[in-house]
Amino acid sequence: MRLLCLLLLLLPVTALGQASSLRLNQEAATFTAMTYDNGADGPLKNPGFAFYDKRAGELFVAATGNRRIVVYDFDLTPKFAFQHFVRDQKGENMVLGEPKAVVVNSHGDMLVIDNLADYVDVLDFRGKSFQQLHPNHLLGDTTLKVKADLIAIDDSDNVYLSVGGDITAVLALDRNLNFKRRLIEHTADSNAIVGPLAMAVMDSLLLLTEFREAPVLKLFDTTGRYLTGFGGRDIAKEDFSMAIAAAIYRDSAGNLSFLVADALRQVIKRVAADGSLIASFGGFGAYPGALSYPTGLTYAGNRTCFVVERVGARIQRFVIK
Amino acid sequence: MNAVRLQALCAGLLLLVVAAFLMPGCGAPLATRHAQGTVFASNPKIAVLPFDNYTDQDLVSAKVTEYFQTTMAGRSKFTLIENGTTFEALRRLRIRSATVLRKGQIDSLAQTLQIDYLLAGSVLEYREIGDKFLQKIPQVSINARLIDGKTGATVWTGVSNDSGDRTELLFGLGAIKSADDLSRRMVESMVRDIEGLFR
Repeated sequence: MRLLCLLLLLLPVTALGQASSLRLNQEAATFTAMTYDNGADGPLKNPGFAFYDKRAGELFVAATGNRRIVVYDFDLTPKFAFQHFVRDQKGENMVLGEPKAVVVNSHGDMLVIDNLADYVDVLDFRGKSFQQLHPNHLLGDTTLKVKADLIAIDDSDNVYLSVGGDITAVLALDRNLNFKRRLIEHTADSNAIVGPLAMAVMDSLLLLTEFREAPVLKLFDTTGRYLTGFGGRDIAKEDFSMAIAAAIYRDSAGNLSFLVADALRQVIKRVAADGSLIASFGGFGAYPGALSYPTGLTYAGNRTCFVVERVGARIQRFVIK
Repeated sequence: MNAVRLQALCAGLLLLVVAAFLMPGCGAPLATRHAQGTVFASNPKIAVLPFDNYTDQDLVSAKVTEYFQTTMAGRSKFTLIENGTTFEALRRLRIRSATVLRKGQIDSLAQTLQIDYLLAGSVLEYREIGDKFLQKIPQVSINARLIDGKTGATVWTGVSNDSGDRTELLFGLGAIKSADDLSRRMVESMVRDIEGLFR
């Protein structure tokens, strides 16, 4: 236990060391905006996940500690916030939840994963729940104990759910939230997934990051076919300690890149399609542009991304150079 | 002498009964105000926006919005925009709260729905408190405002706070015992006032 505490204390110090080298690489991204506001009654507490709705120009953040979903405009001004309620264990009463992740479809409907619920809550644009997706029902076996851990949505409103429990798999749902198929399952094969930590989707590409295994980044197509993997668990710059959030984007030249938030190294890494590290930005700290345990990352288009920091309890906007 | 005393007692009782009948009318629960010098168009189109909920109870604002919708639907002095049409426009424009409406949002909404006025508001209180004699006394508080779709100005405001025992005559007679019933009456009163604005 003492060793673990010492390790946790040392992590930011090592990250500081990395940050100093990263400051040399500050041209990787420019800090442009920041907020600590939870949109309702004070500061953010343990925010964890970010999703940018490009159609409406809105940023959705799962403020887990505030037990609410907060909607910001592009300049990080809060527009709307609401508490997320879930059914209790007995299914009788509604209790205050702890939203973990949120994605939004083209109708403005929100799909929310909550720490205190074993279902995916589907809410209208004002935050009113109208449907609940139980992963075991989707899989056609109500005896299974499975819970959605990760969620991603593509431009055509197809939803990808990573579930854990009795089964570890990625499920694909169509735009009407009907189950299409199981895409990727946990097997002994290294080309599958073991313990996914983050998921991102774009242009028929599905990026998953592994918690313990290597390669850390695994790229699939949206039919579940393994394409490639990269990133080790060593101390090299191309390696990762905890790839907790990811995004896929294409630059103006059409080149594919991956943005990955490493929560323990306190950096955002930009990785090319061949796995080579293009640049990093961040570094441990509380000053603008620095990061304190980033856990949420979303790409907003036009080389702009938003980063949510769990310990820093804030959201920052960066322009990638 | 006894006859005189009896007469006095009867007169006193009668006075009490008359007072009991008159008292509920005192202290009107609805306070309204409209912008001076405003010319209200005849037969305008009005959209009712979903009311915001500031109570600790779920769905009460949806109920009050529904009461406004149904009460206003049958009136001849204005045309009401269908609830589904309003909801769809709000969804498309991602307008989630009626409490804080920016000028740009009012303009977009008025243009999309082709309306003259927006009715927005909030429910501040909606509860039924226990009472030894009446069993429960509902207490409801609703704020509403009418916004000009062209100028974005608030042209009418209504603040209604009411309690179920206000209309009680004697021994529970005339008291309203449910918050739903009370809020429906409050909404009717507000809609009557809005109706009076238009020719």
